[in-house]
Amino acid sequence: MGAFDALGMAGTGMSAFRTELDATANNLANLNTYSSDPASTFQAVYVEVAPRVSGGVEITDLKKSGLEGVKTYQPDNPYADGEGFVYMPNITTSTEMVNLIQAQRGYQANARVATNSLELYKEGINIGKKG
Amino acid sequence: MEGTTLIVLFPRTTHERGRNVPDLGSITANAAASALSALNARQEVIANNIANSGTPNFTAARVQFEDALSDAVKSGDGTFKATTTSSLSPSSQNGNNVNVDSETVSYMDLASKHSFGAQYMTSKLTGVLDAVSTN
Repeated sequence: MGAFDALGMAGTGMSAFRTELDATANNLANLNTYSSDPASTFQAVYVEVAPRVSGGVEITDLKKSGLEGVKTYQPDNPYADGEGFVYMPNITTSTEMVNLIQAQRGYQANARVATNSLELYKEGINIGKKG
Repeated sequence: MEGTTLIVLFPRTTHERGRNVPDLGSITANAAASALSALNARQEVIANNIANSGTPNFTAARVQFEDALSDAVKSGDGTFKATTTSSLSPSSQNGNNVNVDSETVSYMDLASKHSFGAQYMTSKLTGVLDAVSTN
């Protein structure tokens, strides 16, 4: 533990939650990215985090949902297979929205810790200063 | 000892209190200094808890020092050490028990206590400076 560690921890938190925001945005952006092959259909990406030994949090992995595409009948789609089916990503919008809000709130809380830490450090440094 | 002047600026034991020197080693000053370091420890623990507010199976930590502070002032020289324990709050589905709301409130609480402690130390130190300055 060092003198200004709280600031660094808040930084790791902001970075982790921002990555989660990015991943969720990417998942939502690809909501309708169809494909003609169920195995290669876009899969939602989730961020895996773990506590860092020196304090704070770190990203340990980016994991795919592992869910194959959902068979959808779209005979007019140029990517449709012989029977008229395309595969849509298996992404639940409500889950993604919940993740989005959680990541946003987490980011805000960490940003607040960073701001308040600076205030606290300033007070500590000014101990003994006159006037 | 003739011609030698001994100025005791930092008496360390309690029985030296009451002399006409600004006592930086008084129980209250010791307690304030220890409290400031305890508050710093608490700040780091809260920052760590909030950074891990989304981490699965993470257990929040708590820094306790209020009881130690009370004991140190009642029956010690004012110095004490804070202790870190695990939070016993219930976990959510992913095994995480950080409550961001209560962490934020604790942070606000410690920020005002830190302000108070820092101001108190400043008034002590400027008192000493006034006493030793010649003009």
